[in-house]
Amino acid sequence: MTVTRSASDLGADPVTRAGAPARARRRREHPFLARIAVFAAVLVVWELVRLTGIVPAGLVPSPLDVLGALPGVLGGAALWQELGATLSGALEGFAASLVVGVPLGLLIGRSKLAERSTRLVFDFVRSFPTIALLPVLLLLFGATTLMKSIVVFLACVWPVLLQTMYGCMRLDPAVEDTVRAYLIPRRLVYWRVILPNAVPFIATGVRLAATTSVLVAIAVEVLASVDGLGRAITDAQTGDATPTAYVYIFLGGVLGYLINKGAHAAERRLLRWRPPASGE
Amino acid sequence: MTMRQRFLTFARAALVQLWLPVVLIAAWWIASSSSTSFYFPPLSAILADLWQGLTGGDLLSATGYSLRNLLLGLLVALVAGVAVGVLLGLNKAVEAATRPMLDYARAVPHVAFVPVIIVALGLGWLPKVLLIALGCVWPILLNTVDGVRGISPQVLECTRAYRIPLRLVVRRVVLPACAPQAFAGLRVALQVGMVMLIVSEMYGSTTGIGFFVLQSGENYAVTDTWAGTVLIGGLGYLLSLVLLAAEQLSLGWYFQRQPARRRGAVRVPSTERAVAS
Amino acid sequence: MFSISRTVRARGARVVGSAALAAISMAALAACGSGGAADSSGNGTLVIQRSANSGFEPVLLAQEKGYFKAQGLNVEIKVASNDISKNIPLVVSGQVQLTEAGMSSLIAAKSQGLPLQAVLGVQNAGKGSKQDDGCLAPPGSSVTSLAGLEGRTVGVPTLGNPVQIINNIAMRNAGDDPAKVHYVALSTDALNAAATSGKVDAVCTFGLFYDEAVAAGFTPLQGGTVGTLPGAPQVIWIASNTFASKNSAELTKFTAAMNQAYGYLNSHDAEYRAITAANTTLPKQYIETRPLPVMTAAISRSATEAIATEMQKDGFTKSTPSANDLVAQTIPDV
Repeated sequence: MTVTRSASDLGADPVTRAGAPARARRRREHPFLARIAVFAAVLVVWELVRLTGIVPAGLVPSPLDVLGALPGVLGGAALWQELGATLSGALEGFAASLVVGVPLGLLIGRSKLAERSTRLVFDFVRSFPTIALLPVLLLLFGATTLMKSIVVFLACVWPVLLQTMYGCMRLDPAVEDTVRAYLIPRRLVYWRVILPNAVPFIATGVRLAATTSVLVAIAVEVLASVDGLGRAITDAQTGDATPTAYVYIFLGGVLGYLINKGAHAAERRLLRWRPPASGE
Repeated sequence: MTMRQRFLTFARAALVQLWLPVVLIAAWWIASSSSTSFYFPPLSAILADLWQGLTGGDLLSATGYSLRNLLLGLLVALVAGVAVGVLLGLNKAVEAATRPMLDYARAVPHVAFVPVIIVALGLGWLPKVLLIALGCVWPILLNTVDGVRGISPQVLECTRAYRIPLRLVVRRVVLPACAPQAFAGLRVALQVGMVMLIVSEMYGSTTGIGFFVLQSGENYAVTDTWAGTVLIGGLGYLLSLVLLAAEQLSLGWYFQRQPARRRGAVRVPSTERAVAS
Repeated sequence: MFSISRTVRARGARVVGSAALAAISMAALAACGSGGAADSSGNGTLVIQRSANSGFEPVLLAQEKGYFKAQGLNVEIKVASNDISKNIPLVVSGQVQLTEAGMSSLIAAKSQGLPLQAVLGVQNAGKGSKQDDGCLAPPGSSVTSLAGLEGRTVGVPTLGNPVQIINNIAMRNAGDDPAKVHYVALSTDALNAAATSGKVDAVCTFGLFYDEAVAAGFTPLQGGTVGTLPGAPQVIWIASNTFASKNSAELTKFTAAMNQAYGYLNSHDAEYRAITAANTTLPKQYIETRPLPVMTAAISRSATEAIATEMQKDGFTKSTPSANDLVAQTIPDV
């Protein structure tokens, strides 16, 4: 539940365009060695913190132990099963959020009355922490994959719905005046003006939902021990295999990172056609 | 406009915005009124339970405890996020070097660290505040970086040309410039914070609204669970309103501008990753 | 805040929008209202849910050796959540017909009025077998007896966990007041570390973590479940009252197959350990050496009532269901 609304940040360009000169600049801005150094520094600090004993012994493994547990996890069949469970739960919730969010957003976004009527309700549910529903959903559906998909859906549907709504509502005044002046038919306006105008916003909503979906899926798995990467973490913890637990934690991070980057890249590619937004 | 007209306009606006919430609550009330389902106690029973918990029980003090943790956590995240964000925003090389690490760090499921942090820092409020800050710092930090990077290079060159001291530049140019972005990050952080608040009370707690909801679920006290959930929802909404008001108050100058001229703050990367964990 | 041209705005869309919204809200409400009361039985398959970490060996053996098939039962086994207290909702909603759970979860659910009952025992705390749970003080602690816990902070895996209830019974037996103990829930794997680092004064734990605590020099403060409430049911099978009354034939067959599995495993330790090893991440060394439980269909009424009584005294429940309500008539007493 992520989309912030008050005027400030919805104004425009959800996309950053990368052209050829940008690519050259990017190379300069990617100091490979420095990044490796930062990564190494974090590992060293981790090990130092562990050695000082601030964290009780046995709770946090050394980076080397985690590295040692890595082949066992990567080589095992369980990892792919857990990964599949996490992704399928995330995907189900995500897909449901698109199926519900986009059409509903298009409908509400085109009607001032509907937008105003739903404003308070949406503001309320948007600021509602989905995880707080977990105890109720657990009682209702148990710790099942269905429950996981429902939580993911509830977390993902708002960014999609709200972004779609805003996309429909935000029309450049100049375009609006043109459309009105030339008496262009409503249907044509909808397909040729409003929808294309909304697409970048929808894309942003979809990207937000995609990144959210995996994070929420893993969180639910950790908190309710539903099958997936998150449960693999708690299973390893209760089985007293701390290094393995950390391997799963970090793999969960890799998954989230990749999906975030992938969603960004997909959005950028999808919206290449888009003309530069006004005011830039 | 006469008083009467103004009142009518207001009344119409209120009616348009309020009918749906009223209808939904009424529908819930009526649909559940004769409910014998274990999982769906009547709304009247939930609200009565909530009222009793707040006036007679210890729900009020529990909520106060959680609220204090949340605000402290947000404060820590705000200070740390803006400080580091300004630092990284002004220093391109450092930002480029640390960016992948930062992106990765916030992608790691924070929920998995709850037991470790609680045991490392003891059973008091400190680990809870830290956990909330840990979840909240990312949107603020990354938004601040974006805000600082959005400052026109000419402005910064100008400050350099006039040899304005860095401290003054930060206070008078950089901070105001990135404030709208930081605020947008803070709004996302509030949502993350609500989630972390509940998660942080899973372990090592004997009070708190998150503890109340989790524990009542554990004991199958469904009406309590619903009451706590309703309370959390109300609290989250109230806090988001307060934040919005604070934003309008402190950034009035910014909102008076034409939307198209509002630099920087329009990019949405800010809002990512709202759901913690 | 949002300006939309009047001409552009489709009046039709407005109406459709409001109508759709109303429809969706109604649908959502209806969905909530009817949520999870389905009964998935009827196609001749018994969908059951085994525990993730204790007492699941017999049911897996019965499936593998075809004991269910021999009874004419088609059984589908799902794995329950790690947290045994989260298993019960699925039985209530009918998504599974039987689940393994702990007696204290059943009592908590029952006291809130959920129509459930124990239909089969799995394992009880055996008389004279080795202690594998209990409350311990870390090395060097000033706490040396149960009385010393009064006024102290004690870590438990979850509030209301069986190890906590047993500790409270032990304290009452010794004439101490468990109400003066500050219990706090910590993640099970962090309990021992929390005690050694002084974050809590003692811990109540079980299984592998109990053994590790003893090996690390912790002092046991009581005799565990085996010493405090021998015969206490540790893992049981639960069904809804409706299912149990309508499907007594299936339950009889299920019980017969499970009894066969209990009989086999009680005399084949190595196979028990092999099933544990294949289905958990527990260390090999621990699996090979830990004391094995005695598996039996019987459930002790007196121990069940002792647990229920203690749970109400501790404030976890508001009423004390009787043993006859909790345990099906067909189950033998210990």
